[in-house]
Amino acid sequence: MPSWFLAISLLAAGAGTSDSPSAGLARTIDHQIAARLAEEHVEPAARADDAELLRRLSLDLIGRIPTTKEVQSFLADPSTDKTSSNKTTRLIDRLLADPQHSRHFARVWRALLLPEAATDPRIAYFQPGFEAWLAERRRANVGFDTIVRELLTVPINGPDQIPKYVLRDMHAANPVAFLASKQADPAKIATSCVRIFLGVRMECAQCHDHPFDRWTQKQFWSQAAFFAGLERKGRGPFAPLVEAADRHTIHVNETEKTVPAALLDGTSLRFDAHKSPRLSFGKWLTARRNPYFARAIVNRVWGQLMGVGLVSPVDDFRESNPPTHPELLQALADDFAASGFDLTRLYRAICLSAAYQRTSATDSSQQAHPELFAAMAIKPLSGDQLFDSLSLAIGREWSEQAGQMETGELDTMRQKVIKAFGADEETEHPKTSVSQALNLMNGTLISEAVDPQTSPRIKQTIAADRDSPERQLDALYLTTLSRHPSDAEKRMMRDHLAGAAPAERSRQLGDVFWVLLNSAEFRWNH
Amino acid sequence: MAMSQGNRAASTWLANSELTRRSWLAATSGSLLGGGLAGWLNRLAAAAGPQTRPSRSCVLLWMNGGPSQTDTFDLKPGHAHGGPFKSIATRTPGISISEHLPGLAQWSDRLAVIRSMSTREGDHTRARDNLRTGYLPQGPIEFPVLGSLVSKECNRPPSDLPNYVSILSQGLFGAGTGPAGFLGPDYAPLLVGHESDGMDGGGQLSVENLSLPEGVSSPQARARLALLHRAEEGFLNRRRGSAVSEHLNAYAKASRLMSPAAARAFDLADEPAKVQDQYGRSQFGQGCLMARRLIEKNVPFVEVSLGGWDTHDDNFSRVQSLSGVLDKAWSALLQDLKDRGRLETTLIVWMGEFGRTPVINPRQGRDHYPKAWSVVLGGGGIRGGQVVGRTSADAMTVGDRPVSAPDLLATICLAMGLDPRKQNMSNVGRPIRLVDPTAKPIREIV
Repeated sequence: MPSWFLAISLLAAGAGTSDSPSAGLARTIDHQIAARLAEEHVEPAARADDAELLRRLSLDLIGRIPTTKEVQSFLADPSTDKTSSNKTTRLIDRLLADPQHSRHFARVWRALLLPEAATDPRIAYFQPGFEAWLAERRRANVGFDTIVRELLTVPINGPDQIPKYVLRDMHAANPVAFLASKQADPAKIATSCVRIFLGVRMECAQCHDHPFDRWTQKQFWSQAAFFAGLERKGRGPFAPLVEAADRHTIHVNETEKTVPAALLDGTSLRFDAHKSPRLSFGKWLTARRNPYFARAIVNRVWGQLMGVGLVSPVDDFRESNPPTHPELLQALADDFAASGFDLTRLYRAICLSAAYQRTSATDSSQQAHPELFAAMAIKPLSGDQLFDSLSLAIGREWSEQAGQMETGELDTMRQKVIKAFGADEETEHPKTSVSQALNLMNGTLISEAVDPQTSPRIKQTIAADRDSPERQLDALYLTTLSRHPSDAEKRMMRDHLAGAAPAERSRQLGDVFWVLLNSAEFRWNH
Repeated sequence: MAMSQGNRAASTWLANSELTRRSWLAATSGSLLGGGLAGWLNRLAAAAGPQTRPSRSCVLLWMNGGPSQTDTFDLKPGHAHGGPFKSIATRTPGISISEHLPGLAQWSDRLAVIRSMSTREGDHTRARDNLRTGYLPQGPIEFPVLGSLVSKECNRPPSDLPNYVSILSQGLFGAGTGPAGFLGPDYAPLLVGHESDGMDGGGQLSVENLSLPEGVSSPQARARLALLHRAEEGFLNRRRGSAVSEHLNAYAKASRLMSPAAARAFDLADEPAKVQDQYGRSQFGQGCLMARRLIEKNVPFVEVSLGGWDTHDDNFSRVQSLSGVLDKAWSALLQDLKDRGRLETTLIVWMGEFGRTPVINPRQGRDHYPKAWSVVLGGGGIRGGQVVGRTSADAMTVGDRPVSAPDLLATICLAMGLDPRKQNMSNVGRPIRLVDPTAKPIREIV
């Protein structure tokens, strides 16, 4: 694609548009994807219908399926894409402004930045405060560079001053949880920063020069050295922190060898004995001219929304793993940096694109190559998304018992669902194990939800439409799959419900509900 | 077209999923529990090629936390590091073990005690990965554990039972990448009793959610499953990728596990009380009994975990107590397999992720120690009545014949009749052998 053509397209897109900001960027996305599809002679899939799109946007932006009311209202809205203030654009803006969006964002990024919270019960205590901080910053649409700098450069006093307590009020915004969860270990902190903010898996190089990429052991430790001054006053993740700001060399792997802090692109550094080296690191990392940062973040957000990154795996940028659409990646990164790392703008641009809005139903195997974006990919649901969606479908409020965390009892219903079904963030497609299938088929959660004696949803559905099995069926489809049943489905289910004696009807309805909850269509983001 | 290496693995799955999905849909008109699904699984097996299986099955007794070698199989009586346990003679002259393992002492002729394990990882997670996969964690590569590697090598006729069962493995498998790593979830273990806690808990060991919920009859369950497959058909027909085949696979295998024959293999109530007593009524004992039942049904790889060995405090009373549970169950397993003519074809591996410090700490405990520790191999494929390597008088260093994790796993592969040099395609587009090619198997015992 000649760059002058692209430049003119961008200019044309920017000039005189009455539609929302990011529309120009959305057009760039579609331009680049279309060009590649044309090269490969692949036809893109059709646009998703309203129900499919509403469900996908709700899951991606606010972390749950839509409610029955939300589905009915969106489907009933007569405006279409042809009008200038089309309903999909309004939906996207509404979801981005919803407080649930910030909470969903916080959960997704907590899983990336504090993965230890899932496996170490001590680190789980940091989770609410860390999420509170992330949600608050997202709600204010603070630039992502600012968020990362705040994360890395939390003020910490010198060794002979008052130490930084890492956990006081469990629910107060607490960015220092990041450093605390890694137990202030420079190697662990560096690994996480480099992976998440630069998109590079450098941890092999901790012990030896990287086997298949160009990173050396020295480079790895030169990043860790920025955190060499951190000290814990005590043991374990709750120990208060101090920092010797004048220290910026580090021992390699507990040997005698030392490495000084240095920036990866060789930019020279000046250290000030009174200022933490983390400030220099944070500033370089999030600088607009740092090519790694914008690309890594844009790629990860793209991967979250589109199911696969332009570089895949999303944190594995290397020469031997080039992007599938290099110009698109560059355009997105440049725009992100120029906008002040504006996340709302980035989300909006991707969601507005035709590529994002395609159906996931494919008619030809060619459309199935995920890296072409000819159709929307199937994405797994995180444990939180599944729990929140199940709660809506089943109609039961599983209350978070905040007090339980303090007494050490962490197995609330949400935790149970996350443990049994939670997708690993690294996963690019939904996985199902035999244990999960057994849980869905026979486990208590689903069986109580579908048993007419115990199920709030079944009782309520029957009560609302006592005489119309057809409307009962419709209600179940709306609450679970966020759509109306097709004619074929109505026939199939009617046949199943028809044979039953009136006394059996509620049990049969429970069977239908069981089927919907066990279906891939419910458990996937598609 | 250019595809990144990560996507290459995915597209191989894509190609496979086309065959399985179409075959499955063809087989499930009016499907019933076990009926049409059997047809589909048969097609899947046929597509996969000729049948293979290792020449021996394996029971891995996984000692979580790192058991103390100085208080079990490599005692140093009289030395300051020795601790209070006495060493007793075994059936084999020259081999002595802890007084708290008297049952095993009678089986020494079938056991090879490796006293010279020497590894470098002292962190539980890294050491566990190292010993269970044979490789050190290396960036993006998701190495599979031994059970999954073995599971992949088995191309048995479709059976209701999985190739790899993991009993009492709470804490072993986190939420992250599954144990099957780059082999994919088809080779993940079936987990048994992983929600249960405590060593002497009341209830019976069982596969969670294997039985139908209360109030749901078999005909109702069959009808539901049939309705599910019909209802999903349209949606799945128009989606591509391994997610589809994995979803179908999981449900089909789960349904087969629910069949009476398969479910019975996991039902310990089927065993006379006398036998249950022989293994001991601990959960580990029950787990070993279940392992024997699964071995009899030709499951190639069963692991049973016994946790609590991370004895930084109060080492001696805890190890004594654990030894009691271990000795009873392991001896019963050996005897039972022998009585049923299965010992020759069953390899038994006893191991943890590292050993414990010879130096006793101020809390009467021992801390992590990977430099010199013990592993025991026994049963079929192993020339028993031997000790491999030795440690120094103070137990601090390996004096002779150091054995690494790859050396150990290569030995296990050979005992099972598997080629450790066989390759599988990994998730970074690089083929990875079952065992690191630098491994030197312990030829003296295999």
